[in-house]
Amino acid sequence: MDMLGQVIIQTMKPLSLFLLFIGVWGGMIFGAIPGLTAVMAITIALPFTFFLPPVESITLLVGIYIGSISGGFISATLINMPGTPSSVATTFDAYPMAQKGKAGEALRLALFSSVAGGLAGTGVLIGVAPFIAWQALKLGPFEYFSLGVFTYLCVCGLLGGNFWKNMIGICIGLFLACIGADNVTSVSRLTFGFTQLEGGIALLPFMIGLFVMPQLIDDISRKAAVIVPLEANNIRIKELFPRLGVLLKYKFAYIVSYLIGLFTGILPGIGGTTANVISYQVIKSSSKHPEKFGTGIDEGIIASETANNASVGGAFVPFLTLGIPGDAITAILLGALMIQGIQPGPLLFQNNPDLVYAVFATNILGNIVMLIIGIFMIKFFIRILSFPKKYLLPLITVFCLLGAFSGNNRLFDVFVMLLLGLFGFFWKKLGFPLLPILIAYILEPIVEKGLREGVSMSGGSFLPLITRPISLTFLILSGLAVLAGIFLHRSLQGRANAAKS
Amino acid sequence: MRLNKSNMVALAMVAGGGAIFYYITKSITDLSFDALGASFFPKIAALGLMLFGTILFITSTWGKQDQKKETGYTFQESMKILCFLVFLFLYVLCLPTVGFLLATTLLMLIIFLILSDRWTLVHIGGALLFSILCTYVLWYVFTKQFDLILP
Repeated sequence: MDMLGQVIIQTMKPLSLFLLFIGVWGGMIFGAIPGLTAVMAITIALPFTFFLPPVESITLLVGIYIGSISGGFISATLINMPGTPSSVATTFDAYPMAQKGKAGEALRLALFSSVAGGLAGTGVLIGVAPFIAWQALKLGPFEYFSLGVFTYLCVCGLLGGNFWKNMIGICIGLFLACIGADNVTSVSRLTFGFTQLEGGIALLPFMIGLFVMPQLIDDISRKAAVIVPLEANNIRIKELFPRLGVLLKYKFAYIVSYLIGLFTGILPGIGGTTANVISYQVIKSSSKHPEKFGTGIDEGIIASETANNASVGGAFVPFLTLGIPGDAITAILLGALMIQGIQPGPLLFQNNPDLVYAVFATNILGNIVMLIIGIFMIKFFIRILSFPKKYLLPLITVFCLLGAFSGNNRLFDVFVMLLLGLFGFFWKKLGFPLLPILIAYILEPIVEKGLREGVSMSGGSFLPLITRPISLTFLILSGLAVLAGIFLHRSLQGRANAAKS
Repeated sequence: MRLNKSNMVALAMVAGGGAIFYYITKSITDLSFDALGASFFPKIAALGLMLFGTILFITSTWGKQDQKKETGYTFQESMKILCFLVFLFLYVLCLPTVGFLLATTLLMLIIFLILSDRWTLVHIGGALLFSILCTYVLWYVFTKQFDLILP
């Protein structure tokens, strides 16, 4: 706790505070504008982090993460378009409420619920993460392999869509990660004669190519005329000041949404995108007046925004303690730390405690900064919604090109980024998700090293995979995750069909 | 038997991708002291592609039809995408000879024009000014502040 206090003080230093402010503010802009994503915001910021110390880098990136997850509620409320997928359910009640002339009230509830969910999620992160990290020190190579398999199957099962398509994505990610010198024996693999590929496909071009370029190509083709209702300009700042009485009045909705968000955040593959929809459905079905949901009801906004922000704290638990990313954003954060030469996992708590506590401190301060920015800059966000994309997209394109170039100072990486972007665009259009490819790519070194070292140590035997209790537990959990995923998505599909009819 | 996008991709996975990848992995050298060898994981990935591709092909051909429909592009939208991609590749090809400042200004201007509905002189002039300004600021920040060597 002393360390946390020290890091909070360190984060209060002018540079860190400035970066946190810029991160949350920039994240909220990217979250608010439909078509711009949180992943885009973090990826664009990555080249700047090369020139910052690790703690300041993580402050900027976590600030963007917090801001972008929340920013979606602004467009969800005002123009019925969720800026991010994690605010889909916010549109169900926030927009109808705004239509009734209560846009200020809807924004206040969404902002306050976001902050409440975010702060409560951080509380659990601070309480639980050190314990899990301490336990994780006992994991051996076989356990790491099983943990990787668990993550892969969790992502495939819980992500939704077609399970086999997700598995194909995992295989492609594994294959791409195998390009370059093998990390156990340094044997050159799949380089196709390109010496530039000896070090593998660089992380930054890979992430930009696969996640930012397809979105950018899609955005280029679409007309994006956003019309913000004129009444939105009449919102007064004092309307947005939080009222703590709401917490007591809707304590059930807050607690349940928070728990759902936290749990879905911890599980790989779900994150805020699913958390807000599940939470909305649960709160609606447990309400005494479910028929009022969708007409502009307070609990609807609370359910969605509390859950998606609580999922941020949840997602940091496996990320920090085991080095396992839960979604695309944490996968990119993991990549950002790896670029800085830092490997998240249990040893991070021993080797870089300042960084761990910086994540904790940024999560706390970031939510407070978000509240301040949300209240005092709401007029700015309303204006930014109408800002023409023809000014933003050329800039984002150049940032992507510079980002891919800046890692190794070579144009080869920019070519790789463009080719991956082209692949990602068509892959997405064919209905195949990109997240499994990224998760497989990021985790492949841990999974491969774990299995190969383990099998070598056991004299060529795979048996320890099922004879070692933790490894066996992860493998059983993998099967359960697939079953849970099938059940969860069938149930959500059933509810959606019922709602349509 | 239905041939939709999913099972055509699955078919390509099985017939093409997986098999080619598996063939390529045969060129990887395995060292004797390594129990599994460097080719083990790439082989697993290639076999996985073939296996899951086959399953996807079977399930999407004889199973339930995929409910989700992807919205397509109009001719104009497709042309915008094509122009954007062509100019991106041209930009990377020309960058070493033309240099960052000129190439980036032109690229930004072209993207701006692709996104614009009206091409009047005022618009083009404004876009050119915006492109020059942004390019110069980016060049200054990355080369002078971050010491990045740009072409």
